[in-house]
Amino acid sequence: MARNNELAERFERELLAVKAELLAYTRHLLWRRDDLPDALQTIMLTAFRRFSGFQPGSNFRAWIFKVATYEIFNFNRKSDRDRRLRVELDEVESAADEIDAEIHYDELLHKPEALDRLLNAELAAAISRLSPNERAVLLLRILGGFSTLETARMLAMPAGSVMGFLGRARRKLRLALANAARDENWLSPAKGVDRR
Amino acid sequence: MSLFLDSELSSEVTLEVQEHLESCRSCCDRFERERRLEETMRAVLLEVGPDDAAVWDRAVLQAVRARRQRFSTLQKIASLAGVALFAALIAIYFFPADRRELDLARSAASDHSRFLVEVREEALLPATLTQFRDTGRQTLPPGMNLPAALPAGYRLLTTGRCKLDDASVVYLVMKHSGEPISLFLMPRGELHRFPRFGDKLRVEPVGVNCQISGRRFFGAASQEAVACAVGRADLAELQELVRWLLAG
Repeated sequence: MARNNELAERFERELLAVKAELLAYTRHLLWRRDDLPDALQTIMLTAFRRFSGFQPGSNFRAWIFKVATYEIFNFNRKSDRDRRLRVELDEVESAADEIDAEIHYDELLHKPEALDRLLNAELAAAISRLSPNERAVLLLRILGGFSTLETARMLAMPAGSVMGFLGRARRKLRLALANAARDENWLSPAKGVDRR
Repeated sequence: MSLFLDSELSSEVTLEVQEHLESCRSCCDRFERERRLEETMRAVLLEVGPDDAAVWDRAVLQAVRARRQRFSTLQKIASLAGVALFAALIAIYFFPADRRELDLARSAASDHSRFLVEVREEALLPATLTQFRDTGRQTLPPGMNLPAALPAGYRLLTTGRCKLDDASVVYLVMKHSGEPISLFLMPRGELHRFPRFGDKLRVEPVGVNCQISGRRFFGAASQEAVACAVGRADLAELQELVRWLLAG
């Protein structure tokens, strides 16, 4: 019993160090916000069950993010939203729209206050429109601070695929932010492409 | 720019980019803005809802508690299993193998009876040795006879026929005042070896297996037959019973 208590205390101590990042990661990687309590509980149960096999001193952050990723993917698989979103994401923007958006994004970078407002309002929605792999790769980079190789190991995919997903995720975010800024009339009309 | 932001470039390329950023105001400006954007994104994503922290704490608590409860249940099961194992060891010590062997013999007899009832033949299970001799005469191996009567003070529990290798064997389970004793009688001509502890016997006609086992064993042979006795009785009692059986 003493050993169990010690294990539980160590588990809680290790978790505390990644609490903010893992909580945010779980919240943003889940398709359904309502699944958060169940998903967190499943993650914690699985993690604690396997924790006795975790080597003290090795990378707890990578270990727990990997456990969480698989559990969240399982939750998302149960949701039919995955399929619906994939259809939305398959809609390819035209080259002209993309160039417009890049120009707007560049302009947006020079307006930090507008950018902050946009991020607060639009970031979560924009991330929720990414594909499952793009989301996971982007969140693991921004929230977990994992390198390409660490992410590749965690998601069991080649490093090249991780870089591809990350690039696409960033591009889609740029487009989403630029489009949102244009819709809000915070930016000047597009001037890079003649759209007549 | 993204690779540089993510520190994914090799040290040589990183150095080159850094040198360029030092000399190019436009790129340096862009890099700083992108870096700030990443930091803001991280900060926005890290913002948790008012209930999220409570949901986290509850999940951790439940996981740890559920595990502890499981350990506690496992401990209870382990304790019960330990007690059961101890009881089983005690039972094995006080009720050794010969008793189980006798149970097998009784079980064989019971199955034999059921078999006979099922095929609607005349019941052959005897209440006395005389009945066994009379009703089972045709089933006794050729040249094998049983004594006319049981030794004084003994009661017959069950009888039957079985095979040891290819040899026909008649078995009797008898009781005096103590534990039951199993006796085996077989024609000498059919045997290729002397019976011993652990020999498997196939009870006829039901096919149930029993075994020559017990705390003590005594065997002897006459011109025609071999007999042995197993049980918890004194060796002298077993010897006497074997002699009685061979005299038949």
